Amino acid sequence: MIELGQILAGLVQRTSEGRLKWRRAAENWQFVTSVDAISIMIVEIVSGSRYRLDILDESGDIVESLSCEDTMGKEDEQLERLYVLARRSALNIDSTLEKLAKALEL
Amino acid sequence: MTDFWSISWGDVATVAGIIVSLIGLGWAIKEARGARSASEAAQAAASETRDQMAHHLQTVDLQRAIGLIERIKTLHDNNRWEASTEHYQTLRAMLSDVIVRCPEDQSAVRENRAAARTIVFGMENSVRPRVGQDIPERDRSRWNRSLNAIQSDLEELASNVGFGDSQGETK
Repeated sequence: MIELGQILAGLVQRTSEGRLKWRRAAENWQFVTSVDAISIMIVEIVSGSRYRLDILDESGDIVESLSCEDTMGKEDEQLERLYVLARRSALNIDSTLEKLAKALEL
Repeated sequence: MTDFWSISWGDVATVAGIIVSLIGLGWAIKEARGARSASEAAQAAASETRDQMAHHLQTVDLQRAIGLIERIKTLHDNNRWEASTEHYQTLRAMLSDVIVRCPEDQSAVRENRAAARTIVFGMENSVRPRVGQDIPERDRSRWNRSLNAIQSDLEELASNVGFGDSQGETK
């Protein structure tokens, strides 16, 4: 049986490799991506400290959630890392910083 | 024999030249046919994909979803938040329908709609608990921006599968 922790690790890896593109959702603290018809949403519940991962099935219903409370601290770091990476991907932060660096001739 | 070669070598060379030319011509014709059939095969594949999409998706479904997005944006603009909550679920169902009708090999198309459906889901969860409250302009414009992106995406899909005359307006 596949653990949610494995899925989380896979999402972190794929996002850090640039193989998963995230989009901003309805709020500034929610980011979403999809793999075929399955969606994944990472949400910042409390600014800078608590995050939740939601997995929505092919019908669009939440089938699994993983938050800091569920992991008892075990996967906190991974959740935070995924949030940071998803935000960077959705807001094209790397591209903006590269343009800025080029303009500043750094 | 020596006489034959000394007299007729020019004729033999001419015949040999003709044979080589004919072989070359045959090769060129074969290559040209191959190129044409490759080009035709690519065209047929593109046409087949388009037909497959058109077969699965219906113009009317896409136009209905585009129209509903327009309606939700109007409700947002008029602070009719409670009324808008009645439509998010319908929109999500419409997007699900588009995903289901989309051929399985069109994963990028399916992924875009699945992400759109999740964005609408998040929007519903944001709006529902705030019905009756004063919702700031920045929230309204952010939600309408998200809806605009979904609307444009559906309009693009409609035109890509050959439905053409998508009339949805983007604010």
